[in-house]
Amino acid sequence: MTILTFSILLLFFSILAGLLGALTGLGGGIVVIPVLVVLFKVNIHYAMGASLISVIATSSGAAAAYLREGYTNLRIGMYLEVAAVLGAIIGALLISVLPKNILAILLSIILFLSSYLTLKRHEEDESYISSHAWSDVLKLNGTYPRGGVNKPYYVQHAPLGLIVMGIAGLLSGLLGIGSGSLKVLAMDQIMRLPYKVATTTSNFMIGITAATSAGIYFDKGYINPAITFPVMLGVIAGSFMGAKILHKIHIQSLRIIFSIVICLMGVEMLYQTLAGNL
Amino acid sequence: MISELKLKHLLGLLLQIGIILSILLVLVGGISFLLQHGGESYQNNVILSTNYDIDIIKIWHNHHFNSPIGFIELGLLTLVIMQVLRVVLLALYYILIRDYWFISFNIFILSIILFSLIRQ
Repeated sequence: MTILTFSILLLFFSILAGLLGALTGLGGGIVVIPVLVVLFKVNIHYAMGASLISVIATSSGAAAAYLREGYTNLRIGMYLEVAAVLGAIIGALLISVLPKNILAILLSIILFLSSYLTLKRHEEDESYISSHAWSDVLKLNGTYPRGGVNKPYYVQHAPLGLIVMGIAGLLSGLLGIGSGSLKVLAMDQIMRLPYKVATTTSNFMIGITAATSAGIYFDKGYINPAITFPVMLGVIAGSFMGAKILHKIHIQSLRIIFSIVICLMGVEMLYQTLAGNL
Repeated sequence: MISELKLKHLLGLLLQIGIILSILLVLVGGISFLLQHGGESYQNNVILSTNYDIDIIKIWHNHHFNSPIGFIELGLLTLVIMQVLRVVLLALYYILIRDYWFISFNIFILSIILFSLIRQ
């Protein structure tokens, strides 16, 4: 196979991964790694590097659009980012001491967990009228547009949110993913933020967390430009297309089917790792 | 005094410009890379065998615009630098409104990112 053929195939499958990542809500990064590892036999370190760059690109693109809609809470984002960057740098530094098969196994587990979390979540209306003490001091509470008015929300369990965000950052750095599912879980389920505020604020944070790990990735040589460029361009294009169609299709069963396809990819990666093929 | 709404617009604009610039650089680098090396076999060439032991400072000093890979690296670097600028912009905003908690948060975040990017 020539480099040209390889790059075109990589581009095509990265578009597909970006599309599936957007449609399932899992994000392009966690989907593209098993594709690269299982289908193209790319070294998992390079796959993680390419994914990390794609994650920065897609989340930045989405964040730019979301910032105008008025859901993103910058204060909550930067408060939680304190823990996320710390986790990210520790995670990125841990890569070089962990064997590759451990990374592959961990990635499969996170993939299954994220699929589960993403599929089971649903929007609920919050009825809290007071917030955690830290939230009052740091002025984390905010309002969001709902039904033509700005509805207030009150932040709960601020310290626990910080801890979970540290873990999300750690996984992001360790595996080259955005950890969007876990970030949303921390804000939506623990801090009890409205779902749309949680997803847009998570999106705002992902790029900063990933950029923190990227320094270490560059330094250790995990970011291979020749592999990264078709993957990054493909994932951006796929995610963009996915976001466009997402408004038109609201079929839960389709999301379940896509998630199963992605999980099967994870199973294949797990199998090949355990069989010693990777 | 700049409002938070204005700040969000500025952040959105910064992200948009950064991502377009980054995609353009990566696209130009990627296409010229394929024009130069596209016909070669991929197993034994640039893609899988080389260990890219690069860092941010080296990208800036060594490559610039004289090789396709250099272009791609500059595009990737743009993407990362844009995130740093985001935190800088937020830090400036919190300095303007004298919010000491958030000034400290942003300085902490900035130090960690910069440590990761420029440590040798």
